[in-house]
Amino acid sequence: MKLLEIKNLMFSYNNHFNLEIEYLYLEKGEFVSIIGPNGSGKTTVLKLLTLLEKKKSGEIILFDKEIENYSKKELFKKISVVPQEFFTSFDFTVEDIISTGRIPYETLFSKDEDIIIKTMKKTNTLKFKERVYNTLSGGEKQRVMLTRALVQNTDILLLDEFVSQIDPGYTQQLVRMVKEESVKNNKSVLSIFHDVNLASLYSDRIYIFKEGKIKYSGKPEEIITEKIMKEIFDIDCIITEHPTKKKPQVIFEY
Amino acid sequence: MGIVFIILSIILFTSLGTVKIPFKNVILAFANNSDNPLYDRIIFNLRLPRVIGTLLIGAILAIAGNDFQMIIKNPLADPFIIGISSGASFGAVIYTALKSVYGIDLPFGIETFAFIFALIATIITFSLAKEGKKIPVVSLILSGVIVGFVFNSISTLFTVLFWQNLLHVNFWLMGSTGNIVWNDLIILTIFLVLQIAVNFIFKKHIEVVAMGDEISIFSGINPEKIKLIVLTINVFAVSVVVSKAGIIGFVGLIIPHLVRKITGPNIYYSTIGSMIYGGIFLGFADLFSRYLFRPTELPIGVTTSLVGLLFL
Ligand SMILES: Nc1ncnc2c1ncn2[C@@H]1O[C@H](COP(=O)(O)OP(=O)(O)OP(=O)(O)O)[C@@H](O)[C@H]1O
Ligand SMILES: [Mg+2]
Repeated sequence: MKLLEIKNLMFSYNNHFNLEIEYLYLEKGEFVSIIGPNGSGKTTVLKLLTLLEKKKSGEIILFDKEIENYSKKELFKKISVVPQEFFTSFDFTVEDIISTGRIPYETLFSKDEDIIIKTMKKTNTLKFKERVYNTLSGGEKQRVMLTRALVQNTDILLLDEFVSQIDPGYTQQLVRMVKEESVKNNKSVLSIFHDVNLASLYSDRIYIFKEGKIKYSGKPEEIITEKIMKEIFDIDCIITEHPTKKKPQVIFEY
Repeated sequence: MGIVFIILSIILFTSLGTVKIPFKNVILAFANNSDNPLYDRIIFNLRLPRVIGTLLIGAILAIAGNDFQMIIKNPLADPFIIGISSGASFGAVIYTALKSVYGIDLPFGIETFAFIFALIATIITFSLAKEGKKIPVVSLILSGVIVGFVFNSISTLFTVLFWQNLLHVNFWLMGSTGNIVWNDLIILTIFLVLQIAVNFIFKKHIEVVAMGDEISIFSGINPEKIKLIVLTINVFAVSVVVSKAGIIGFVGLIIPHLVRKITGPNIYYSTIGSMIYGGIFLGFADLFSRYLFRPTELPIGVTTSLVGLLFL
């Protein structure tokens, strides 16, 4: 079942960057990634999906309904987001920030408290509970923002480079956790990655963006090729197969 | 603890003044057990309304400052940055010019004029700052500066032209809680209660707006709606204060900033903290203004600004 579909979408920032998406979809329980060079429009797609920016034309259908017809509250019971970066001017604690994930439900009963604590244990952020968010390291902040999205308990998770500053140990743990959300709990994940190998290893499908357009889309083994990597990122690389998962992995040429 | 603090300061502030009334007599008078009718008259007709009014005004200004700082995400914003003060001064100057220079009889008093122009100036600031449905913080501050500049220039022009008639307006504008009477306390209390109610009802919403616009949207909140509600109630509250007591700066800037250093940005604690310390701070400023310079007074706005200087 397709939870989310983008059709013939057009958008531009004051006419200097043009995004054009003919078709993009996300099925229930799918883990889909977006990769592409800096400035290719990946974050812009998430902004359009969350109504931070307004599309020029086209359709974005969420559960058979155009997203512009959702109230903010209803929309964010279906979609949660980990933004590329998040700053705040005040000394809010980690718990303050994570608990905002429950605002769409507008209840602050013990049930919410339970979900928050349980999720914080899973992401190993409980020990920061009382800490001021601004004093955390970059990777710790990203773990907090992932926790915030998880407590929102939505069908769709939108992740914007959510492990870009996270060490290898936590990267594996968190990506696995998100993968598990999709496999076991049937959540749909749309995740932007710069690490092509991570995207290839965990994704059911990948969209490759360049200059505001989808250049390729398909299963990792179909589109992670030496030729396409050269064309998209202008890198010289060798593609090998992951010994156990049988997914393509990129090795850089010297 | 805060309540005890407030009661003690009310007794202290009521006792001290041009005529010094011993603490014992103040307490006796409060207990309706006084044997000195002169003290009674001073306490109940002159001092008590002023003292309570000062506490209320300090509380309103500090809560407004806290809300402004949170909502526009600037830990050192002042509620006056959006043109309230220059609008109010303009209203007061225009009123006096019309009345004493041109001899026009006006149906409203100087307070009403100040209040109306404070609102007009704020509305102009907001409409200048508006970009589509959003009000970006930078344009809000810039528009506030522009509106302030324009209104102040016209006020200055009038003051230069008719300085003899307008001298006392300038004094009034520098702030004084000396003209507060029992009746004023009602409207001040109403606005203080409204401010607290809005902060408590929208606690989570105000906090998430202070965290940022994007995270508000991701939490299903429309940040512009929350900003509008919170700013509107505070603009009204501050405009009422300005119309009753002139322009009293720094309370709304310094107090909430210091209070949040202790309470953090939690809206319950920072609102209550701002209320208590804003009130007590202004009470001391008022005491300083009228006690040290007795039998005359220093405008309270000058005192708070001097104290503010100490923090810079
Ligand atoms: N608010 C904005 N106003 C104008 N142009 C913008 C705005 N936000 C992004 N752009 C431009 O739009 C293009 C796409 O930006 P986007 O953030 O979607 O890229 P991205 O693919 O996420 O890049 P990165 O990998 O660096 O995060 C870039 O050229 C960027 O400069
Ligand atoms: Mg991006």
